[in-house]
Amino acid sequence: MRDDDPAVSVAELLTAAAGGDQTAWDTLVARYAGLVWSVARGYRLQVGETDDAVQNAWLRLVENLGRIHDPAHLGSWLATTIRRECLQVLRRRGRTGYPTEDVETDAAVDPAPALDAGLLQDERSAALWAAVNTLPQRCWGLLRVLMASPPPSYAEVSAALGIPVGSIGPTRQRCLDQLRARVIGDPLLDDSVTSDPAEEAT
Amino acid sequence: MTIDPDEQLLDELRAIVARTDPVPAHVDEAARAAFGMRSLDELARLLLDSETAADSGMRGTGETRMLSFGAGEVGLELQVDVDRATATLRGLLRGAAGPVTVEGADGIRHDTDPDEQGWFVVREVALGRTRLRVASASVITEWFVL
Repeated sequence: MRDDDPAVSVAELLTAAAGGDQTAWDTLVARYAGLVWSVARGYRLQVGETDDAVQNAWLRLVENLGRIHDPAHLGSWLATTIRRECLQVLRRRGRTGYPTEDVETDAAVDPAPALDAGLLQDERSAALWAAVNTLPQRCWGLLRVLMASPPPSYAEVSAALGIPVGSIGPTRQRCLDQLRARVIGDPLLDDSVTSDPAEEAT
Repeated sequence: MTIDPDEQLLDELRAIVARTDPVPAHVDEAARAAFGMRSLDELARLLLDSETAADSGMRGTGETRMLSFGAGEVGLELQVDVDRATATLRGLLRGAAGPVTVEGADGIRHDTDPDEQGWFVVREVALGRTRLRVASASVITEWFVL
């Protein structure tokens, strides 16, 4: 899934990048761009705000290239960094008069505009995507991070959301159940999404 | 092989999001270009930002924001007043002498010479990502957002 040699460790890439190696930097970006973007999208910022937060996170890494003490957990470091950048964007809205949505609440939000639906050729995917977009912020944020490619570790998810690793599994379960509940009755999704082989077996 | 229905659903969502919400090309390009901002100077850490110290009672003093940076002996205190699209920076440089450069993420730079006590003022700084550099001390601040 990664377009570089996975045998090259993050520690080696960081060292090379700190020494000025643009290719090593590009490789780091390629490895973690999906994670950083997914975390940011989980915070439901405005379009330009997301771009800025992501860019800030990368600039932080550039600043700290020689100071990452635990290269094996660079993903968690980046996830923490992008979370802080997103929260700062939300804080600044209060100052600048932007409407602020409390990301910590479980309040339902408006469905995202259907602009993406046209990209989904099959109706089932479009319906599922529409349903997932209507989930409360807590669930959307978690699921959006989990949707990152490559799939993030729970340590990275924990860092991305500021929640304990132990709460991820139960929350994930609850959110996927909510998603299934929303598509019950949808002829495109009902059977295929809610079917649970384990349940059918009993 | 057992197929976990939750994993299956997440895989399906991951495949969907790869089509509907991939990392935009311009974001990817900017991330790679961020490397061009690499500096070999010592990094002056943001020690205090009144904007993020909301619970410390520092808010409510009008629109003025206070920032404090430090790197070893060198310190930079900054007072930020925003007026529409630009900011006025009033600063105090400690532990070093020489010009202070205000650098925006767009590459625009303002140079200023602090007075004998280290005070300086820079007006009409564009809002957005910014950092300050003290070339004589090889110190550069973290990025902060005006």
